[in-house]
This record gives sequence, C-alpha cells and structure tokens, in this order.
Amino acid sequence: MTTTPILKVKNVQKYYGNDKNVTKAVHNITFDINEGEFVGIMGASGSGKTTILNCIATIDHLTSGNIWLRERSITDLKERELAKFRREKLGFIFQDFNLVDTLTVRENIALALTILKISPKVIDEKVEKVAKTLGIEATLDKFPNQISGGQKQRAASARAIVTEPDLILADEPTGALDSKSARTFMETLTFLNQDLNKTILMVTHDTFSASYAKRIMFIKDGKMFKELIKGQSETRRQFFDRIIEVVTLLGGDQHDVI
Amino acid sequence: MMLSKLSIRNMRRSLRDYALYFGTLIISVTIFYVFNSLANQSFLESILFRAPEHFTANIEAAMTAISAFVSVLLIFLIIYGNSFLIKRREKELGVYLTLGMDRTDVAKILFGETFLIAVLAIVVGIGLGVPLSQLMSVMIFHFLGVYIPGLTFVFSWGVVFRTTLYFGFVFLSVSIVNVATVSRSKILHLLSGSSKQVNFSKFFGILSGGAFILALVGFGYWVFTTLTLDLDDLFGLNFDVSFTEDGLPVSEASSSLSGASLMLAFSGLVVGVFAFFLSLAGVLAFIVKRCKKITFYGLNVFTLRQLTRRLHLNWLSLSFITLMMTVSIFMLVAGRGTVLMGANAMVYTDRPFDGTVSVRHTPNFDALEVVDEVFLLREFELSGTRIDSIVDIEVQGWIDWINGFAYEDVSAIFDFHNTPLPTPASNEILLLVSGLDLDDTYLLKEQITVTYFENWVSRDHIVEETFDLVLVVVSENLLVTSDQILIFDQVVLVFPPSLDLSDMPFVHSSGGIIGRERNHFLFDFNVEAHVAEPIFWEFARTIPSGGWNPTEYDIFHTTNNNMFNVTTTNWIRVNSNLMSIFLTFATLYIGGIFLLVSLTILFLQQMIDVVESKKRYATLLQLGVDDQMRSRSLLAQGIAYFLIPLTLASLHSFFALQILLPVFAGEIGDSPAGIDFNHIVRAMSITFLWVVVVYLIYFILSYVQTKRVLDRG
Repeated sequence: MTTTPILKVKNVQKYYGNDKNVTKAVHNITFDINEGEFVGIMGASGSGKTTILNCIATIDHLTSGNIWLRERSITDLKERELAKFRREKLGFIFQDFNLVDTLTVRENIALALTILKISPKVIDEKVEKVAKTLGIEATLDKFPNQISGGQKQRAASARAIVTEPDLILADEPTGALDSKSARTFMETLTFLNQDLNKTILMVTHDTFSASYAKRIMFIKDGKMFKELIKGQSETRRQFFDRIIEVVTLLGGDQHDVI
Repeated sequence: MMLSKLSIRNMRRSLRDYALYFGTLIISVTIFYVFNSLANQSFLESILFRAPEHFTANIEAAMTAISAFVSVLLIFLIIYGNSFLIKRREKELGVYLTLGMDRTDVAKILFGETFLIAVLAIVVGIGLGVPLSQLMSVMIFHFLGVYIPGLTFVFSWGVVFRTTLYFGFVFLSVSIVNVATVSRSKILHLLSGSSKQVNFSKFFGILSGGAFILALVGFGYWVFTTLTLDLDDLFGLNFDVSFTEDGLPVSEASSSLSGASLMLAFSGLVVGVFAFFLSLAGVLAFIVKRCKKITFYGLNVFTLRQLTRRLHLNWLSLSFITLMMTVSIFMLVAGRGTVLMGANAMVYTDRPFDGTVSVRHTPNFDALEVVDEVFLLREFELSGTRIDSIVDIEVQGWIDWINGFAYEDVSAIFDFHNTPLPTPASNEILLLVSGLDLDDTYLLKEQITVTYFENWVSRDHIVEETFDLVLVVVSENLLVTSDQILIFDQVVLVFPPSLDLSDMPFVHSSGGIIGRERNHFLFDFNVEAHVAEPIFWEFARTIPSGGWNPTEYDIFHTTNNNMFNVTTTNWIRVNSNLMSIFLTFATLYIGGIFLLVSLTILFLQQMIDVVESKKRYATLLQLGVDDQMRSRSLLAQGIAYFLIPLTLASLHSFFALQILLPVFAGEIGDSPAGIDFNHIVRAMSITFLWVVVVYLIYFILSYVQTKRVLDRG
C-alpha cells in the first residue's frame, strides 16, 4: 500500500499512579492506520486497549510517545485545541451509546454539527441524509429512551459520521446489544467502512464483532501481542476462527474474552 | 466509631458542594436568633411600656406566630435539601446495605450527619447572631429615625435556648423523615438510582396549551384589575379628606364592597403562576421543535432541552417559589415604603424642639427647683423658653374645649422663633389657626363671649365680655411647637395684654368660667435624643411618690396635684411608629426568610440537575465541546432558571404594590397629604435593588458551585 497512514501511533506509553506505585497501562505501542481501514484492537479487560483508544480520542493524556492524525501531532495540543480537534476530526461510538437523553435522536445527531456552527439548514439536510443512510428516519423525533438498543447505536453512529470525521473510534460498540442487534450493527459499520470509505478503529473483546474488521491488533498487558490481517479472499468465518486461535493463545482461557 | 467516621467524611464532602445550602441554614439560625432577641429584649418592652395593652399582646402573639411559621417553612426547606443530599448518595447507601450493613446503622449514619449539620448550623448561626443583632438595632432605628432608650442587645441565654430548641426540633423532624426514607427504600432502587425521564406526549402538549391559556387569562385578569382598580370604589376611602376626628381614616365602612373583586384578582395571580409553570416546559419544547434556526446553533438545543426538563420536573416548586418571592419582594419593598410613610406622615409633628418639659403645679410648689435638680444634676442644660403663668380658658358657647393664653406667654414662643405676633387691641382676641384647620367652622364666628369672676377670691361679680375675633393663620410647626396642648387643639385663643389674668389663683376651670388653672412652666430644649431620652426615663421613674401614667405622647407624672409632662419629638415618633416598627421587623423577618428559602431551593435544584446531568456533560466533552462552551451553557441555564421566578415575582409584587400601598398609606399615616411619594418610591426601588443584589449573590455562588462539581466530574 502506498497511501500515507491517516493515524500514526509511535512508542506510546501510559502509566498510572505515583512514583511509588506505578501501573503500566500501555507499554510502548506503535502502529499505523491507513485511510479506509477497519482496524480492531482486542485484549482482555485490563489489557490497556481502552486506554489506547482514549489517548487517541484525546480524552486521556500520554505519559510518553506520539500520536499523529493526518501528519499532525495531537499530543501537544492545548485543551481548547483538543476539543476543536475532537469535534472536527473524530467520531465516537460507545458501548452505552452516550446519546444525550434529553435530546431527540434528530437533535442528538444535529448536536455534532451545531457545535461546529454550521448553518441550521445544512444541518437539517445532513441529519436527514445520514438518518436515511442508517435507516433510522422513523426514529428521528423520538427520545433515546423510546427506541431500541440497536436503534440507539445506529443513532450514535449517525452522530459519529455526520461530521465526516477523519477517524471513527468505537469502544465496545456491541457491548450493550443483543446478538441480533450486534450483527445488524456490525453490518452497519462494515457498510460505513466499505461503501462510505470511513476509517474505523474499534476496541472490543468480542471475537464476533472483531471478525468484521480487516485487521486486528491484540494487546496483552499493555504491549502489542500479535497482529492479524484478513486475507483478500478470506471469509469472515475463516477470519473469526483465526481470531479465536489467537485469543486462546492470548489469555490461555477463552472465557476471558468471549 | 466506624459510623461516625463515615458521617464526618460525608459531611466534609457535602459541605464543600452544598456550601450555599449550609450557608442558608446558618443564616436562618442567625435571623431567627436576631428577631427573637428583638422580640425578647428590653427593646419591645420599652416600646410597649407605653403602648396600648391590646397592642402589646398582639405584637407578642404575632411574633410567636411568625417564628413558628418560619420554623415550619425551614423544616420543609431542610427536608427538601436533605433529600437532595441523600439522593446524591443513594448508590453509596445501597452499597452499605449490600455489604450487609444494618438499616439501623445506615439510619445512624444519616442521623449522625444531620446531628453534625444541626450543631454546626446552630453554633455558627448563634455566633453570628449575637453581633448581628447589635447591628440590626442600629440599622432599623437609623431607618426609622428614632431612638429608643434601653434598646441594647445583650447576649441572652433565653434566646439561645429558644433558638436551639426550635432548630433542634427542626432537625429532629428532618432526621425522622430521613430514617423513614432509608428504612423504606429498596436496595436495588438505591443502587441504580433514579433519574426521572421527561416525555412530551400529545396529552402533555394539550395540557401545556390549556395551561398556557389559563396562565394568560389569570395574569390578564390580575394585571387588568390592578391597573384599573378604582380605590375609592374598592375601599370607600378618599385619601384626601376622609379622616375621622381622631385622625383615623374612615376605612372600615365599605371595604367589603369590592373586596371580592380583589380576592378574584389574587386568585388570578395564583392560578396564573401555577398554570404558567405547568405550561412553560411544553411551550419551550414547542419552540425548540419549531425554531431550528435558533436551536441548531452551538449548544442551544442542549441548553434549551436541559432547561425544559428542569422546568418540567420542578414546575410545582417553581410556582411556590415564585409566589414566595412575590410575597417576599412585596413585603420588603412595601415594608420599607410604609415605614417611610409613617415617618413622613408625621412631618407636621416635626417640632423645632427636640422636647418639652411642662409642669403644672400648685402655687406652693417650686417646680423649677425640681426640674433643675433633675436635669442640671445630669449636666443636661435646658435651653429655649421658660414660660410661666399660662392660663387655660374655657369659653362659653364654644363647640369644643379651646385653650386660651395670655399674650405675653404666646408671644414669648413666637419671639423664640423670630416670628412676629400681632398685638390684640383691648377688645380683641387672637384666634391662632394652623393651615390644617382652615376649612373648619371655627372661622365662621366673628365674636366671642368670655365669662369670668372679676374678683376671684370672693367669687363675685361675674363679668361677661365680648371680644372681636382676629384670625391669625400660623404655620403648623409653630403651633405645635411647645406643649402638647397646642399640638392637639391646633386652634388657640390669645387674650389681649389688657386683660390681666396674672393674679388669678389656681382653680380647676369648669362650666364656662374663666380661671387661672395652675402655674405652668414650659421648657423647650434641643438635645439629641440619645442624650435626652435616658434622662427623661430616669426622671419619669424617679420623681418621688405618686403614680405615673405613660400615655401615647408623653410621660405623665402626678404628685400632690403637681403634674409633670415630658414630651420629646423622638417619643412622638416612636409611638406613632409602633405599627411601622413592628412592620419593619415582620417584613424583614418573613421577607428575608422567604427570599433565602426560595433562593436556596433554586440553588439545590440547579445542583441536583448538574449532578444528574453529569453524564450528558461528559458526552458533550467527547463530542468535542470545549470547556468554555459547556460553561456558557451552564450559565445560560442558570440565568434562565433564576431569572424566570424573579421576573415574574417582581412584576407581580409591582402590581400588588399598585393596589395595596395606598391602602397602607391610609392605615399608617395620619395624613397621607404630607407623604413625599417620590422619596418613598426611590427608597423602595433601592430596597428592591437590594433584593436583586442578594439574588445575584446566590446566583453567582450557585453557578460557581455547580461549575466546580461539573469540572470535577
């Protein structure tokens, strides 16, 4: 591949605690993500995978190392610039959806745009369009507590992509969904990736969800453990089996990760 | 040991976040202490010393009733505030229970906390109350422009005990409610916590619409009534002339005539307030939906939705708060206004002298010596005129008692004020009239017949002599200058110098016979009230033997047919202002507490909203909302939430003032004619500004505290 990476993570370290008692959450992680990629990060709970995501999402600070998004270092941005960076360059999808429950679905999606101070007319058009793309037009004027988990997660996805961010970050996006909704949602993510060419970085410990990605990075105890790349002709089922193997290797105990 | 540790740690954390709430608790204790020490102390005693007895009883009963009412109000506030504190910690309490802690232990923790809060509030509150009560006395009497002897605020264990008792009761009630709450609640509920959800259903839309119309109708009727009400119709009272001979306004007669329409207007106000807040959330939700141009900008949509939610959840308490604030603003502002009216209406009793000692004595009694002894011994020098041998005259055929004086005596007073007094010819009697009585029937008379014994000792040879009346209009101030006799009659006869009355011995005049009543000294003086009053009190109390009888306007003392009267301008002011003084206390007390309670509830609601919305704000942060935008949204919500009740309450109290202030003017002042309304309006505006300042302080503090909680999250 000749494209320049959209995201570069280099020698990232993250320690918690004070001088006496240091926990190394992330230890010397380095990787790149290219435009249009769908990358999964897997690991047991406590492995440091969410910490990495949070560092890339700029809601956590690095101890050392560097992160570049589109050639731009985000590690030395100031608080105001970080917020600006988040609202312009990143889209978030979370396990518990993080929809604002006082706003309707329409307003939730619009919120990502209103804080960019785009004209209300454009916002309205964009919201309608993205809702149509994700098949949630009917729920637009409902409040989050009036719709299903799957619909909520699609609404959250709509909010994440409506700003056309450079990178979509998903943290256990199927964690709160039943298996059917999870499948539908993962298909939605695949659609976003393949048809709309969105770059996605997903953190999960769910093998099934991970099998939708094109590349998986395994993290163990804060270190890069292994990397799997889905073959051109490989089916999802085959990729899933390969992931299972690594997971077994990773934890020695499959219960940890499924 | 463990439990008390938990209690103390919790307390510390709560204290930091809810400082404003605890501050209000402390202030409440302080206010309670101050007003009870006022009611309890020599101040009231010394005022009521001379007040009519029924008034004394009424004031004491009213003070007790107000205190009881206030403490009930505070119970509600603290229960309300405490439910927030518990709610915040539901999860923690749930964890305790899950871990197997006994419910009684959890109850003990809560009880311990309430106890600590109570001790803190009472100790600090009283600690502040002691010096504040000193300050209050100075302030209040500065406002009233009077001085009251014996008005010193000393530390009183009685009041401390009473305050502790009342607030002990308050906190005990709260504790009981707390324990009941915890022992009834389910662990699961505690663990998950509960956050109310607002759904705007169709029914809600219709309800809001209906309520909104109802609110408009209610307000409309209220405003229309207040603006168009004809007060003469309403109370059958014309404020310019309708005063009885006692100087009281004729207000009772037909007051019930349109009292019903006033009641209806007040109902309009109350219904309007409730309907307004019931509909507000719905109306706002409607606007949010319709006006995307406004809402789809920055955090507007979030801010408005948050506000909508809060208004919807708290519509009932907001209605009560608005009504309470209306009462509060009205009381504070009207209280200030009526006090000034009272003071203003007495302009005509504003004498050039600070006081007068008058002595009427039997010929053998050396009044001068007694008076000198009393005053000179205290290095208190009398200045002004000393007048002897004034006579009281009763004139035949006159409709009223009227006082007559020898020319030389009256002219002495006039000389003292550098005002010329025409000398009556031998067949003339001067009729001095103040401007107030110009339209009176006295003036129709042109002649007057006076009857007296030519030889007083043998009581023979009754002389009947007719004099021409010469009308002399004098300024009010001059006529009321000296002895209180002059004050009340305001019409005075002055006999010509040719009519020698000086040899007449003392006799009580009766039946149209002229006689020299007693030897009569008048001492006018100008001495600051705080110097003069204690001496008079001493004087009144220490004159040997004989009962003494305080009346409304002077200290009156009789001993062996010798009568001492001491009148000071200050005392006339205090006594005419009894009602005003009481109003000042009551309005400050109730108005102040209402204001603080309202503001604290607003703060608590603001706080609980932020605590409940923490997750929402966290989401905003992830979406890339920066700190400034978030703070601005929080500020906008706070401003709207604080401003709506204030605006509504201010408008309503303004309209209430429109109708009720003139009524007070009639009740308080003897003569509304003398009231300087511009001055009063200015003073009331300043009082209103003070309310706004207090409001602002609470608003800023609550913004700072909620922002801190948010930042920490």
